[in-house]
Amino acid sequence: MSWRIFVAGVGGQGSITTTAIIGEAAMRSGLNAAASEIHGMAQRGGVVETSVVVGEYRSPLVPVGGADILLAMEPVEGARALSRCGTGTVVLLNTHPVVPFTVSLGHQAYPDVDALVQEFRETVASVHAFDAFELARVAGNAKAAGSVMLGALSGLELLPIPVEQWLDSILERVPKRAADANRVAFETGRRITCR
Amino acid sequence: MDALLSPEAGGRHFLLGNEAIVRGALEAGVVVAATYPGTPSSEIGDTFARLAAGDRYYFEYSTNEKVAMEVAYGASMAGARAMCFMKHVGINVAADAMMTLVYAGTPGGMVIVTADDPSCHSSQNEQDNRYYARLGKMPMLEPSTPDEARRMVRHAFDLSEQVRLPVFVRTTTRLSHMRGIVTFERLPDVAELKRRCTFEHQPSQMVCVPGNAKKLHPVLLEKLDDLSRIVEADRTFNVREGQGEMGIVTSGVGYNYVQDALAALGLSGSVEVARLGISHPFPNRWLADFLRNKTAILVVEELEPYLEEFVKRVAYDHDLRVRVLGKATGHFPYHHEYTVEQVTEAIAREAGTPYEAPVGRVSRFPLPQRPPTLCAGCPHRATFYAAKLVTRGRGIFHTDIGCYGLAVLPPINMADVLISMGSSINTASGISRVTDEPSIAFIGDSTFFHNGMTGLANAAHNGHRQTIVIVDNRTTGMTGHQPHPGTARDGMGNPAPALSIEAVCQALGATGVATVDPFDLRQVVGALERAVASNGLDVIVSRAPCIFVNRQEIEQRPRYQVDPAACRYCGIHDNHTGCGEAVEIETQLDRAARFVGAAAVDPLAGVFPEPLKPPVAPCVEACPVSLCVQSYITLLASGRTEEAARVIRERIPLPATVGRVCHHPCEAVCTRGAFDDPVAICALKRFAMETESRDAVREELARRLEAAPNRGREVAVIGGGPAGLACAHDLRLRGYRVTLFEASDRLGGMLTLGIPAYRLPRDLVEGEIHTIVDTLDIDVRLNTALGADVTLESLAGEGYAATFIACGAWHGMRLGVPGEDGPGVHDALAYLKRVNQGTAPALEGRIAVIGGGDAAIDAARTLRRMASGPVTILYRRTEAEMPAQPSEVAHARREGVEIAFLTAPVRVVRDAEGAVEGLEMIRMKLGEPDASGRRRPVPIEGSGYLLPVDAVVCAIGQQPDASIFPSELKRTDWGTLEVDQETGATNLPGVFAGGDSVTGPKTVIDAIAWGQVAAFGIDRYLAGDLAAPRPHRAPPPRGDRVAFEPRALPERARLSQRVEEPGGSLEGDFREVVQGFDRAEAVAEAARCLACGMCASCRICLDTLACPAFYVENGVIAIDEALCNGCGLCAMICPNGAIRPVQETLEV
Repeated sequence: MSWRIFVAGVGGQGSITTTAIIGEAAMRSGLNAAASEIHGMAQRGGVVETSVVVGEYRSPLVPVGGADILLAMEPVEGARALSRCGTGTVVLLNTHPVVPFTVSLGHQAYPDVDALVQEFRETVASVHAFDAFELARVAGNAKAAGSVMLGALSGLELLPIPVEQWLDSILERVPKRAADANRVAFETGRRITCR
Repeated sequence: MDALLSPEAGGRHFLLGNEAIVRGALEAGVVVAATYPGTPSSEIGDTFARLAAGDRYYFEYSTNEKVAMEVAYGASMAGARAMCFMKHVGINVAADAMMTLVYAGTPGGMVIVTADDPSCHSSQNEQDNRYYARLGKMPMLEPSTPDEARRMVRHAFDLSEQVRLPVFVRTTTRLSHMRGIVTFERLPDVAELKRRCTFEHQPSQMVCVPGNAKKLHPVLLEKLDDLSRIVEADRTFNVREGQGEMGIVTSGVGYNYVQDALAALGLSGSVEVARLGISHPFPNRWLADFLRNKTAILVVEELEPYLEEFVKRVAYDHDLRVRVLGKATGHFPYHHEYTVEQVTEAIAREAGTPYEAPVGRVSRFPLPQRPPTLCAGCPHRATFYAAKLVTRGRGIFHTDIGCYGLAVLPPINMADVLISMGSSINTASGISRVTDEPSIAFIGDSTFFHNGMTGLANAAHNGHRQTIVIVDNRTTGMTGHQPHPGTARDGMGNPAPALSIEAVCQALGATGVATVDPFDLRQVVGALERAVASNGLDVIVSRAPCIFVNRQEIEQRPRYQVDPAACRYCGIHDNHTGCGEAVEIETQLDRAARFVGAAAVDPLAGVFPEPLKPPVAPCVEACPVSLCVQSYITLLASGRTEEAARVIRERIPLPATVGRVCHHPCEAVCTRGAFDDPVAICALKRFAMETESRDAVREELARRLEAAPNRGREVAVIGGGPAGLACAHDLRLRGYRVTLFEASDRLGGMLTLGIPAYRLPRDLVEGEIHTIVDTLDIDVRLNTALGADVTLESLAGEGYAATFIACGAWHGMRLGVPGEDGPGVHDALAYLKRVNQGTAPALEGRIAVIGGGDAAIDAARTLRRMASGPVTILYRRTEAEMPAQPSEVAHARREGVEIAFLTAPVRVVRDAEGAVEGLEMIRMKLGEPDASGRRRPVPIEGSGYLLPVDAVVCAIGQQPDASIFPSELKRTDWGTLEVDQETGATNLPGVFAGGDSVTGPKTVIDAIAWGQVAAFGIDRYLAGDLAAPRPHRAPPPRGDRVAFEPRALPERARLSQRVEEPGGSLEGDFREVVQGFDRAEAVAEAARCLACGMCASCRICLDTLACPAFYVENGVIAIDEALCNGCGLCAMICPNGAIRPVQETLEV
């Protein structure tokens, strides 16, 4: 089995770290993995689209309609990544908006988040929408939103990666002082999708 | 220890391509590495810098790429393994060295990594550097995965030493920034790396003077032949896989796409793939063998048709008939990165495999764009802001490579050209020779050392004039915060001498060098003004650290927040109407410039200069319905009439009517009036509404009605005048059913029964009223009076959930003099009402109208149209005290009405039959001011006289007809109803009142305002929350109003509307007297507005800073504390003092 995971977010949200953690956890679980990141100019508050493939794929890029899983770190960026989704895509959506300055300036409007979630529900197989930012804040560190997303991803139990492997890979990447918050954030996220 | 330094073989790690390159170099025993940072190669240097403590190598961030290549070559000269790496355009800088060092040869293995950037993710072009290998006659290796990058770099050192040539390793962004599983081989012993080299002197080989170079070129060609033999024999990097008549030739990341595409099409193994890991020299014989027995070859490579042309040449040379498909055949483009889908489609097409390209779904919602922007707290934003204040965008702005190139984006918009590292200074030099427009070159600190110094020396020596702003953020920002010669640490993290940019500039001949703190705007503005004015070669070093460099200090800084009470971002409208934004940006910059130039700005001390404009324009404060006058005037001035009409209609349901009869308190307070005459606001309103089509109004109302909720409750509105109509209008749009009760035979109240038609044409006012009533589906019951036909009880019985009483003030006050009762003495309003109903008798003979208000004027002017006899107005004070509008007084005089002042009647004189034959009058003088502030008229004793008249019309005031009000309703001493000013609620639950019934006789606009207040109050009452505050009212006038000084007074006198001169008899002529403005007049008059308020238009922080920490929520500007970096620039430029530091520490 192979999976393509598209991660859509905004510079500064930790998309890159989240992507690397997925690949590392997969590798340690004996799976092949590759990831594509974005660095430089695009990070200055801009859109950050990264992806990770697990299994037999050679290119880390996700074709149009080719995502098995969409990790939307931000609602509008999730909607922008709709092109990567097919009817079978599982969507994990952080409902916490990061308002772009085009909206702050009043030049453009930020769409209604509930409507975006509804659109996903009409389009793809499965949608899990939650405020990862708020859940991470409650877990002790708002910057651990990525760990909430990863917890939810692990809770889906689509990827054959053991829970402890997820946690090890997360804790290796996050600052020591934020370890507890990230552990709690991961568990919180896992409970959203794991029955 | 970092995993990358693990000496053991076998470790598996998930690494970036750029990290894998470093591991490969370490495995090969590299001892010298040099670079200039540039994305997508930056992480190679970052990784060398991070691992520097491992003591295995020397690494440096060189001043530029040419320096880096020559430093690496220096080590290679002595036999050491050396490496340099850079982004694709960096090779251009280094090419001068590169093209000749291939002649001299490399005793120690030398590897050059070029990181190309198809799709320009972070570059100024997408050049394909494979051609450099061909041009320089060097080997070119193209890995496809991170692990292969490691292996190829390792191999490249061996190959370099084998042929004594530098070896290229080329990545693209997708490989440099791709992560993959990398398996380590062992690292050499550290002791081995410490071995000192001995340089072998061979001047005939390394001194490339012409005599030597001429001999060295054939040697290089021999090396290339050797290389070709090596490449032909290679089976490690040039590989063939699969079998079939169709072949694919590919390299780099293209190979990954090919593999995924073949798998997706089920063609893996049935198409033969030739992957070229070494693409120069080209393996001609190897490829010829591949081409044999093939019918078609698809070449999959991004950017240039480099392989494609080699394949064609080989086919030609070996006389092979095979179709070569690629860019020339239109299968692939020459630009941008490829995708798996593109490659899949091309293969499917040639293989004849069914394939339907997936169509990407697109959200049905318009998604806001998210372009990159300068970070919150970025010092560049401050520098550009100051430059904008000085130049107002006029000048030629040469920018350079770095974050500050983002100045090209709005709202900064201060970049005219960007070519290459250091180009800013040189293009400014060149252009100064052919234009007089001043040039400013913006260049970063690292970029200045890279290639700016030579440009400065050139400009100084050749006398080029320009201002150079070195935006010194103490780091190489865009690429990830690497050191440079101006910083105090080197690439290994060791202390290093920091070169002084100022000293360098002085030495290179700048005529003036100033250092400023960008966050001290006044300082920057001053320095820039001096530099631009000097017309020399001035350098301004604008120095403040990048927020990433300054992280610790920034964490300690207070964040900023917006005080919504002080912020003047449109306090009136739900949605900012964008009133004249194009005009306003300039105004806002004026404001900021004056603010910055004003008293000491120290936001931390909480000291703010006074605002430069009143927060709300006085006209808006004066308007009873808080109409944003400044907004629609500005729109009219910019010719945006329809938008102006929309702004007006948003607050006034009968705007064309109001545009004719409003007493316009706005004009009395107009700032322009302090200079010459107020802006003709009312007339401009009339013009704006003149252009509105009734159909459009109906459509708009219908749309708003449809969007309104259905509250399922019904409200009775008593009184069809402006207050009742406004209330019914608002209640319908708030979702209530409404029945309008009117005592007379028509709607409109004073509008249709009081005000004469020559002031307010009947078809116009009736049209406006019926548009509302019909479109909003308001039930109307005419000839139904409160008290006589309905009562509060009967209405409650009919199921009305609330009642609004607005019956006007129709009851005329009496003179209180003997002889008043009897024929020949008329009440003005009662008479006007009968005229409007067509039942008034003509009055014969000489007529006296008593009073000085609008009713007196209306009566007098109407009488001029009804009767042929002379009409005289008798007023007990002087003209200055007359409550009537001066324009009305003038019209009356023009129409032949006489006005006598300082006289009052003491008796109506009647003849024997009781007919009026005169008035006994007494002359008055002005005494002390009374309660209204007007001077009280005092009779002059013994000044009595007889005025012969035949009829008297009394217009000395009105009051509500108290007899119709239920006795339980609380009243004032004046006989008006007592209500809550915020909601219109009376003492009875569910009963509201407004208009003249509450205020006594007032104006149309006041009545409309009361209707709106009551609609709000009723809505709150029916929602069970009467105490909720009323939103969107203009704030109360503030005591701290500042004297507004306009920058320039538009030199134009106030325009008046044209007036139809009375020609001959007025009898029966009720046509409109005043004609409105035409378009040209309206635009000219609107342009007289000084835009003196900041209301509804202050968004200076949003419009001119575009700081990503700002956002607008529920119509309020706020700062996201998590994004704010506490630079305080916003607080410095906020003219309202609304942005202040938060003292609490940030909770994360």
